[in-house]
Amino acid sequence: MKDCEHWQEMMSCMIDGELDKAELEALKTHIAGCPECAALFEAFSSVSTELGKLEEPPESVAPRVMYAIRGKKKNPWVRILPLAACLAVAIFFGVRKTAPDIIHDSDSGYSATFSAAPETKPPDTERQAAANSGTESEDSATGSENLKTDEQGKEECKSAVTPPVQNIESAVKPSPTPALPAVTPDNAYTTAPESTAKPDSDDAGDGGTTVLMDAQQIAALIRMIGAPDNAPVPDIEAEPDYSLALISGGRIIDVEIYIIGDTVYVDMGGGLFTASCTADELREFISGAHK
Amino acid sequence: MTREFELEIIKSVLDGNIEAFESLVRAYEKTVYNLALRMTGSVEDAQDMTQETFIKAYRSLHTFRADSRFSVWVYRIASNVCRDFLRAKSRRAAVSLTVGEEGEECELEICDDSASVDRALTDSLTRDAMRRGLEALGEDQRQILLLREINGLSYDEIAATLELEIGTVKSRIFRARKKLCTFLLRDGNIPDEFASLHKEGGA
Repeated sequence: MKDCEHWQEMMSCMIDGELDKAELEALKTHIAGCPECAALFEAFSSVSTELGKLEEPPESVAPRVMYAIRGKKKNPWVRILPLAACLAVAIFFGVRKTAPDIIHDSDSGYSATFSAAPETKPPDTERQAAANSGTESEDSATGSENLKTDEQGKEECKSAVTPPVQNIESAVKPSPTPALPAVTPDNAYTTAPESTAKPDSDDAGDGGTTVLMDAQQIAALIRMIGAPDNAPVPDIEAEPDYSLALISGGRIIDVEIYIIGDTVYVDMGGGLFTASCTADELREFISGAHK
Repeated sequence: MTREFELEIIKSVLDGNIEAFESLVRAYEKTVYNLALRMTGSVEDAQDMTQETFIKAYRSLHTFRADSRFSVWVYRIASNVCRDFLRAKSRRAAVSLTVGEEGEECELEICDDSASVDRALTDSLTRDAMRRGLEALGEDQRQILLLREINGLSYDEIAATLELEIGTVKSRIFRARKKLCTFLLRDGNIPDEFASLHKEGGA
């Protein structure tokens, strides 16, 4: 009601604690005799209470902010981490388009490869290499359709992965420790025979046998080893314990993972930093990825 | 964190102790995040905006004047970062009620059934409903209401932050608040009898 407009504006001020004592008393008297204003006041109070409920952020932004402002070498994970959710979309594409025949677990819809260094090359190395190159993508229509189903994907992420997202996969190649089960593309999800892995060539794509790892696992792995941390890092001259290759649209991000004691160090080519997970957590994760 | 301590930290950062900035981030990231969350409606976007806010704050820390609270200054940055982001994404709210300096039209009806209002709000003020309601406000109203409700800025501080007259701040917050209440009541989660009354009211 127009007549009450003045009082209603005062009610808003009252909610905000912006009335003096005299105004407050006058308003209370009005509200007591005006049901419409009383109802509105209740509504104002409820909304104010609801808006005042603060949510906890999923994670602190402090590490990323501090990394950025220190002006040191750019931590590539700062860029990669927000894309983790999108990787799931992209991974789905890549595998479906390039190597559908090695997907055993199609229920999840998301898949990727996860390779371990065997003593011998897998029987289908060439096919896998071709898949890695992302040159085979006959099923692009299917891919587009799938992307559209992820309406919640962030636009930036989509644009980052959409242009020819031909293949995204993760290949992890372990060095001597720990011994990982060797699996071939054909038994990726079904068998995981034990083998004693040994150091392979520098080429993770060519040397490793491959198992499938779903996108959730990829994202989890990135979170585990990706937390930016500016803790002091030692000089490491040893060979990396694991080599991880993230392949996206023909672009390869090489990651080397070192384990010193219980600490995991990660190098993405921009310098070494400490990962958030422990060595045992990483080993456990990798073992789990083979099951 | 007291204001004096805050100023000490800022001085320390400006003197080269970059690490001291982290305590400011941790002190205000929750409120900045919630402002961004309400502005953007997305957890992911809110995190990105929070991060960008503090990076911008650090880079322009030398321009901070001690005559206002650091929090107010940061919220202003956050508010602008979110607005820039929303504009860049062309994700404006479906309805934007332009509020002028004085006495513009605002067709809003509030039912006089206080029990229904209370029940409706209690039952339906889900996060999603609130998000839609805030989106319906349009940027100007959303911004000013959130600076008050989430960040706790006084009218004076909001006036200084947004470079508005106090009277305008008061008027805008009131209209934003009233429109949000009306939107939430109309959002389909209210009792039938109340809805019919509401409709009859010409809403």
